[in-house]
Amino acid sequence: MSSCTRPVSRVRISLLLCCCGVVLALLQGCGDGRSSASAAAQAGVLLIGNNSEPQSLDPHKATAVADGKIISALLEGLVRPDPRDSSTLHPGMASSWERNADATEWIFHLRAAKWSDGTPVTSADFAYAYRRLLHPQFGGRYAEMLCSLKDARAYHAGEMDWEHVRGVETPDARTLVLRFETPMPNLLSRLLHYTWYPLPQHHVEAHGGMLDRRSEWTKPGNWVGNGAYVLQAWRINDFLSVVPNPQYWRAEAVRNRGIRFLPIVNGYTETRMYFGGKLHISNNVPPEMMDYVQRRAPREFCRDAYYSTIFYRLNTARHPLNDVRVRRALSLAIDRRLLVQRVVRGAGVPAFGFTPPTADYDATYRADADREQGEREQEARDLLAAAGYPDGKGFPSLELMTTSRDVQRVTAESIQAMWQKTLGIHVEIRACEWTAYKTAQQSGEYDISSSTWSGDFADPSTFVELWRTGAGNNCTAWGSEECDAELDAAQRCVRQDERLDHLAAAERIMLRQSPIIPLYWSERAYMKSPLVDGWFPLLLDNHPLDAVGLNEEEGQP
Amino acid sequence: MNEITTIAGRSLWQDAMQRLLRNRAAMVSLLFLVLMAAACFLLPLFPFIPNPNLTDLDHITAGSSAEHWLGTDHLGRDMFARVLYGGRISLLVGIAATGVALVLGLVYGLISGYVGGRTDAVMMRLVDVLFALPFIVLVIVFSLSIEEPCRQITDRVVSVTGWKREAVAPLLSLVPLFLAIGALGWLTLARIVRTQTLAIREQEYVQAARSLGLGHFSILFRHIAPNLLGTVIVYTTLAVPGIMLTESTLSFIGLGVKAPNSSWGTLIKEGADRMEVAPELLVYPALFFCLTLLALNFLGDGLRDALDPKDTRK
Repeated sequence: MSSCTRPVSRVRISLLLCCCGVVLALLQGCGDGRSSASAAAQAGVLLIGNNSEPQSLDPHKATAVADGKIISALLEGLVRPDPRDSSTLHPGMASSWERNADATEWIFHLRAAKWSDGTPVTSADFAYAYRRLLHPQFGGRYAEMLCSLKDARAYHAGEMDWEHVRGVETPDARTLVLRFETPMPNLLSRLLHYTWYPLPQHHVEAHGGMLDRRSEWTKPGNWVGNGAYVLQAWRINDFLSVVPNPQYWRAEAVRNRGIRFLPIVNGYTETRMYFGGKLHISNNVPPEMMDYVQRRAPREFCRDAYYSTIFYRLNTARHPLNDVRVRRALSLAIDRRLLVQRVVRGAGVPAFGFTPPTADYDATYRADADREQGEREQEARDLLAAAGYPDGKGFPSLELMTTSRDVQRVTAESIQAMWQKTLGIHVEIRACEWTAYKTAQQSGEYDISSSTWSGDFADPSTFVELWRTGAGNNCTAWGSEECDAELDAAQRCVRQDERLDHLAAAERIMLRQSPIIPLYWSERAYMKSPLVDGWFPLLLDNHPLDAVGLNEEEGQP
Repeated sequence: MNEITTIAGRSLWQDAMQRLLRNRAAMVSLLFLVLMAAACFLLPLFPFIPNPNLTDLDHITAGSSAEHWLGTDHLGRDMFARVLYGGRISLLVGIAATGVALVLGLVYGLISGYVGGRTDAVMMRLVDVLFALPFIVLVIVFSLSIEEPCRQITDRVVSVTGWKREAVAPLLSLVPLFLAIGALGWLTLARIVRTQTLAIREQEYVQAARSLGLGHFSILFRHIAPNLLGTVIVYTTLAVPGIMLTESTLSFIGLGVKAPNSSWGTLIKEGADRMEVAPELLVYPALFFCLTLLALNFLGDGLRDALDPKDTRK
């Protein structure tokens, strides 16, 4: 200890220098080549950034977009999506179908397809899946998707036996009859969603049975599916890989030899990994990086229109958010234009409604949208004062829960500052890891929750139906009979324009009550490698991954 | 030089001070640390330092100007103010957590070493067990489990005193952090103190004190503890940077300081995300953090050299 004091200091310094060297070397390493992406391309394996670790691969337990993307590769419904256009559909498990005049009864003729273990896919597998999701004891979050089936709502509420449900019928193994309470002219686009997929009945039964929520039938090694791919491996926080399913009925049409889904929550990390040659298609480019990416790789940077809304859920069961004046005040105090311009950097449109406006539907809350921000802020202050918190005095502590996604965190920080400035109230931000966030949101253990909703099919009802009282993905404890009545009326309509009017009326009722704060309608910004072939912008982001091919060399422009 | 030093007798402490004063690296570091602490704790009291959480979305990632000395961050907040406030929190956590670790480790090691025998064996096996567990994981679990009680205390404090929540919350939200780091960071110190105590308790003056009928408490704190001081000081100085690093690690993975408040760790994290777009957001906090850590290390080295009585170099 005594004699070697100075040299130790020197050792420390040189260690430090070494560390700097290593860091520099690592930074350098990021730049060279696209080794792993091009190697994977040669092997025909597609590398896709998939935001977060999936909650579950069981289509009746999953609710997240990331889960849906994997499930759609592993299972196939009656119809399948088109790689170029979200509104075009192709026959999937059903080779043909017919419907009656008012679209309340649909008959699907199934093709001779097999599950990945060789068992034939039958109409009973569909009926089994629908029964499971609707089962009153199963607690499927997405059960609402199937409630348009005749008697399904009664069965879901536990008021009827499955044998008496008239909505699903299986005259023979290759015929499936679906009957609806109300006309369903655009049923086919809904069928793309994974809640309508079949389940391998024999396999689920062998692994704990229908109601076992902890069933391991989806684990790698156990997996049985009817989609283009089968599950190969799942390494938590590393990757989930799928390989083509030899039993798939279009096995020869699958254009790649496997997919790896990488759960990378941090958009900065993901974008760097893309540039480091670790990904073919990334999930999202953070707004602040868009200019940089645009300069560095303009041809690989994609900005697609997306049927998606960024909003805050308010837990209306909790004080003081049970007061509509407080909720409205929180909503009005947010300067959405500034938010979109400066924080989201133009990758979206300020939202005063929930459903993204389309050519035939726009439920924007005009009373808010058509005013100046100054007027909105004044009303927000007045409302908060009326609720008993003038200038935010005495306002209790609220927690704003976000995922650990960078955009969400920065958005939350800017809104925290806006509320502080305009209303004089302070909210705490809690950034949660994805599973914790989902669990808290679904069990109502939050005050304010930063949320995203992406359309499951190309119709406003995929957004508005969320706000039915007690709907699985509502999660705000809010409900109104008035709103439910409009939703029911919409379901009964045969004419499209009348139906949309009812939906818009329901949405306006919801917006007036503000169980949510709409922020902006987002677009999808991501990176796509020139090696990728057959990937086109899709409004619903429901890319059939079997149609995505890989060139071994970068294609000539 | 010898002529001067032989005139009057000097205590070991004076010797040490002399040696320290002569160590240029340590003195420069000490000066730097004093300045840094003064800047972090005193400068924000002046009105020319803007509110670090005040966003200005019309001026995001602006460069340095007369108004914003180090420019603004991605939400238009003043970078200089954020670095200062971040330093406040980092230094505070570093010092507070070290304090917690110091008290725990000192008492634990003293008792273990002084009592000896079976008690010592049991106490040291416990330390071994805690050592075997991964530190960061323990800290995470511990800080998460005391988060809720701490939140309730915050609510109580706010409702009783009527202080502004946003003024109290950032400070109180640090409590779980430094309690967790401190409560698990005392292991090394406990071992060092125990070993030293084992040696000291066999010294003649301790035996003399004991034969004069001095109580255990007095022996521990009047004869043994002061003789450990040198070791403890050195260890503490070297532990602070380690603990600050732990804090920044926790903040980096999102468990430390809550937004919009920042520590150097969170600032570095925010900067690292944006390093292609706005490298200065990474450079400034990283620079301040690295220099502080370096200075603490140099000072620790200097103190060790100075307090080592066997060091013959004059």
